[in-house]
Amino acid sequence: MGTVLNSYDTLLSQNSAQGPIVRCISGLFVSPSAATVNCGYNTLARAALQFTVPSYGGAVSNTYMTWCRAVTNQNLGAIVVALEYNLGNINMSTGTFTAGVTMPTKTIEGSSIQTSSMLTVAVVTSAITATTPLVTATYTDQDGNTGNSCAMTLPSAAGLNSGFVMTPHLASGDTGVRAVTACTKSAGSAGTLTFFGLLPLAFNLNATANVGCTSDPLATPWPMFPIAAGETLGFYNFNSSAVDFHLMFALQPDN
Amino acid sequence: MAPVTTYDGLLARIGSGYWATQPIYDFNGTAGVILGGNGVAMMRSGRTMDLPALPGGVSAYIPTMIGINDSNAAAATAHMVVRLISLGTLDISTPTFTNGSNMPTVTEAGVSRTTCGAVWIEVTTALNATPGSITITYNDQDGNTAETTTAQALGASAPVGSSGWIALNAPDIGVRDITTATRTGGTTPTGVLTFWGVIPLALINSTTTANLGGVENLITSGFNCQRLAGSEKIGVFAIGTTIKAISGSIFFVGDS
Repeated sequence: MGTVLNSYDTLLSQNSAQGPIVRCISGLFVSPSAATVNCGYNTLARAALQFTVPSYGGAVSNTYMTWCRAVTNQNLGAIVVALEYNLGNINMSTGTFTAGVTMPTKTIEGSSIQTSSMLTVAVVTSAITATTPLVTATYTDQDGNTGNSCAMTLPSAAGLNSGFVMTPHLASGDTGVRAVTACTKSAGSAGTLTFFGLLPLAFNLNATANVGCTSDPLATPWPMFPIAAGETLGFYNFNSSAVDFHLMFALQPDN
Repeated sequence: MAPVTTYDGLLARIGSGYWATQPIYDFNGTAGVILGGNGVAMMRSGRTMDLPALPGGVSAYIPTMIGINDSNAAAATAHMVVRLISLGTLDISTPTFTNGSNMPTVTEAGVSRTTCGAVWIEVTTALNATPGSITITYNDQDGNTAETTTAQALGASAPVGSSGWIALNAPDIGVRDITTATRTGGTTPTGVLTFWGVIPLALINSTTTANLGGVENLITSGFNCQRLAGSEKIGVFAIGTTIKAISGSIFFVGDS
């Protein structure tokens, strides 16, 4: 088990010995299709860019995000940086569901834990042609129970990279998803809806345009998820505007 | 001598005199002009800092604190402090690309690799009223065969210090190298651009209260500990076009 979170000295030691991963990503969030009370409540966009974590050396087990900064030209919004898992997708023309992965097992504070998504999102990954389609996903919940369903009525012709938060529409008492096992749709002639399970690494709360927002995971009461090589970081924006973003983050190596 | 690996070690280096401060300052009195494909204009808010050569007994500069004061109270602004790697310049008149450096080779999570960065342009000679559009050809974050971006329109009459980010081809998030760049269109275009690869160091927010700046502690607040070589370049960029005058400093501990 890694020890980098045990002390600043260990953090500094690993930072010196193995080197951090530091990146700046510049891009655009589209103006997404608006969410409604039937499909997530909060309007959300997914960035077209994702970050694939590069390989690690043999002495590095995982990394942790210890620093994250974001700047956009929007007023009022929240940018989420998260480990992203493709739980599957539905072809909105044929209705064919293709299963994705199950949420991973991670060692957190010394215990091996089967994770479930803290935020589950349905994202338009190719533009949808459909009139207020009812999409019903069947899933395995946070406790491993199977067969619960989540139904959302999406807006007509939801645009590319629009995201719809499934969490409010999970079965009563459910908080997360381990896997999506099936999905149906009531209408549609084109497009793809993909289900992503997210483990948030940083929330950047943006109150004012052109003013940066900060997330210091070490200094906040926040579960720090270990990040494995090859995993994907996705970027999401709770806001209705099309905006520039500059996302900056640092990952520290664990032993 | 082994590098610093403890907090006490950092303090000991300071106590032994292995520390330095470098000033940050500039006045940018002309608003930036937006680059095509960007949602808002960017501009340089601090002149390029060239770190001095490493002195004896110092293997690297470790920035631990960055503070910036902005005299402009018109609008709150984020100042992004970044390491700069000049990937090349483009004189848009001919057009002529002059190659620069690659992104540096660094050790990341135990692996030695060429890192990557977002590409930000900076107007270093003002553009005329009809500057045309630009494309870059680059090797992406994975070192794949060079590819060319979609053209981005340059801002008419963009002044010195006007800036913007290059939209790479999806799904790329950064470049290792720019192999060439060119300008198309325009009418007797004139002006010079620098293409910077950026590695982030800090983000400092100024407020709507004049002379009330901000400080970022890179060790005990958000942890972003990096080691910089002598002669590295550091710059400051801001989003938005409000004119500004900044002053501040970076505190470095000299690694052993």
